[in-house]
Amino acid sequence: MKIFKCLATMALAAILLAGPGQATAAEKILKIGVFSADMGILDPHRSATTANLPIMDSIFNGLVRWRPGSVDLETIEPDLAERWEASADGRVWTFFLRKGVQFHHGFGEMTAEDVVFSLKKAANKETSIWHTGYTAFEKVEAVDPYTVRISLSNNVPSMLALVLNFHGGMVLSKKAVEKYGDDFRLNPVGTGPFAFKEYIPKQKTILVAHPQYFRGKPKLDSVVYHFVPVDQAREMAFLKGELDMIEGVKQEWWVEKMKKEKNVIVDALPPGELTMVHFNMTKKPLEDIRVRRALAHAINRKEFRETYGMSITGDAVSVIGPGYLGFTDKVAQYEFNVEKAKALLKEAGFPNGFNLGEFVTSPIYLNSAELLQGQLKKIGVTFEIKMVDHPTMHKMIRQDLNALVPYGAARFPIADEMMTQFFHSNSIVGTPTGITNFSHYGKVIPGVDDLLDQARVEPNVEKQKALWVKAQQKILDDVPAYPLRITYVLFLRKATIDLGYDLKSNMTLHYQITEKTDLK
Amino acid sequence: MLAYTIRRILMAIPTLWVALTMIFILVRVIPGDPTTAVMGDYVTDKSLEVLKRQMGLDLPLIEQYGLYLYNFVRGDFGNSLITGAPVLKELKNALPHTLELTFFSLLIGTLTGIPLGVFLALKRNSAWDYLGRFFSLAGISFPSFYIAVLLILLFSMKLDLLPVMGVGPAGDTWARMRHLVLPALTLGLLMMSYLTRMTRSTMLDVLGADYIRTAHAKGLRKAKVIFKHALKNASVSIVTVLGIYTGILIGSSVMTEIIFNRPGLGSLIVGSMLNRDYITITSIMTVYAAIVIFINLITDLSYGLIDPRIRYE
Repeated sequence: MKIFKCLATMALAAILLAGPGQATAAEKILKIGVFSADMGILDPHRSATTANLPIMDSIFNGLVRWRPGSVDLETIEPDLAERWEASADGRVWTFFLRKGVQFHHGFGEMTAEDVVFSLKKAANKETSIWHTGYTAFEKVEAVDPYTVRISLSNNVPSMLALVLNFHGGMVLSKKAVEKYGDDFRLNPVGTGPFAFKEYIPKQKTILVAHPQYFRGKPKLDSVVYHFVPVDQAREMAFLKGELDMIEGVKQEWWVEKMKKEKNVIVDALPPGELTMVHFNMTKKPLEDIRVRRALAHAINRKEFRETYGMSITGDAVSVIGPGYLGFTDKVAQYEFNVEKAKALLKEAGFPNGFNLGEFVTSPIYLNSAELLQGQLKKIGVTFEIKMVDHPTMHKMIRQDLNALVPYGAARFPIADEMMTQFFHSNSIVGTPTGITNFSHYGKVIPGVDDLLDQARVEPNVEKQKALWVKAQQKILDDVPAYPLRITYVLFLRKATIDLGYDLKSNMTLHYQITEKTDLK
Repeated sequence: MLAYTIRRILMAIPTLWVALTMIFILVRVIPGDPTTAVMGDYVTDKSLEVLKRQMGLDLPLIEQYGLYLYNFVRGDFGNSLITGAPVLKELKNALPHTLELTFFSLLIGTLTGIPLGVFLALKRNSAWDYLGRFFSLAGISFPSFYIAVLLILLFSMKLDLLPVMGVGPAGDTWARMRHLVLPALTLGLLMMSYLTRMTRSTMLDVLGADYIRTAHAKGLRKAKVIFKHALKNASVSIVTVLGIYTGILIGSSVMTEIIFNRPGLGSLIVGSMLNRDYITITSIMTVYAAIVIFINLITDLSYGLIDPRIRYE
């Protein structure tokens, strides 16, 4: 019995240790289920993890913003800046700030000093992972407390994208960063509609309304992000009413099932994630263009869409998604044709196909790996799938272990970002500047470096788009990679939630919660 | 007994050190590192190096180890590599939930498993016995996450009696208990199955012993024979099993916590593992090891309470 007494004491202590209560019935609390075991850090300049994006979106503002519910760069509107002007040569930009914008937690009024500090921080490689985007920022200065001037070393046509309410464009409180130092990552202070209140590791992050928000006091009192990595758990908690919004399971049968539920709205939104298979040209015989074209002809993209479901996927045509600035569908098409694929292989000297060795993949890409395995087997191209966990896969594909790398990505919707990361020779994996060029395009065979470099500094938007179109055409002629499918982001919400905006597309990878979002 | 206890606690120190060292090395052997978890997967290797330096992951491994061990001994479990939050704080948040769950699972398991085991032993080879053995076998065979989902479907989704997710608001004991029912039942059923089978077989051994026959021959009441003579003698084996299975129970709590989204040690370990948060994993796993060692100690000490012939010298 003594054991029981001891354990009973422990349990009682456990209950008591948990501390006082926090919610009252009258509060409007929005509960969101996030497909993640935990969040990362809440410094927008240093974090890109999925779970953080929607949280940071509510905490911070940029100088300009996408209209909520849209990621169309044509719809950019004022955020912390009331208005802005650019010099005739596009090299000097002046932003006129709103007056009276208050930071959270009494950190005072947002002024030009905070903006200058934030942009400099975003451009510094020690404090920002987005620094490469800001290399053209020659000088950022506060003209007066409400005016910021940015001088560029060369013309940057996507300049507004750099001061947008996303990634490096977010404005932080200088005082708070100086006060908290490295601890700012768990003490974020911004100007957004919701302020950070509490983070309980592996459980939830609580945001509370910022009553002095410059667009008006938020209608919700609090937003709680629960980290629920198990799909079934998220689904059951949502149906039970313990969560108001969740990320969906990307399977059509599941979507259909959820659509039948009362009071549930399913949103499948572009631009979504583009999955491509990259052909590692350092692995023989993938350096042969006939072989790569044969593989493209052997791939049945329709099957890739069907395994997820047609209603939650889109056709992948080019190496960037439709909706990205600079997208074109006027690129080489490799229709699904096994005979043609076999003929090309025969021409290349592989009438019976070949083996590509081991193919490392994680549960997330298993579906793509198996489809590729099944489809390519029909032309005699084989490989053995080896399952590892997701971080291990990421490490291994960067060590050139795979001949084929299926990879899904959603990037800032400008042609340059995606193409530079996947096809510029600077981005070849295993190099100091390496990102995700798995094919070694631009090194094994000449690539599109010049086109991308030119486009980046081209002042004329139309000419710039033409360069991006050319780059896409060349890439699909050379096929260092082949687009497979676009998977839309999939969210579910209770019909009783009024988002407060017209939802068309989404880059924050969960619903954006604004001051107008409300529980009906 | 005091000397024995002190000796055992001292012996736990090298065990913990070995556990800590092994975990420290093992988590670093796995490919992938925490920098990717912080930054997402599409930043340059150069940026990753900056972060690695900031996290102290660029230091030689032996230096990292020395630093970690030095801090650990001083009671500083380090800070999470991802969020920078002190691991001790995360532990303080998580541990009560795991202890709560373990305690109530144990309670459910013990209060049902032992009587059921005695009952089945007494009804040996009857229909009850077969039925009980079948269900206890099923209880052991079904993975706990499957039982968890079945329980949620029945009690939460169909009957709408109990919540699905989380632990309830802090301070609201009633809500916390309601959140605890299903996870505790999930693990309690597992524990019950183990204990039923163990108690049944031990009781069968004891019930066949000469002293039981003697007790019956003396004309003692049946209840007294069973509970005072038979069960008490069977207790040492049962407590041994209870100790071992409590360790297993804590292990099984990982999956249960994930399904019910309880922010306990299990969720902490899995989350940290996925993010390759080396410091958090090492500290938490060492605490886990300490808990298991503590349970073993309690089990050993309880033998003396049950059987006065056992002395600790």
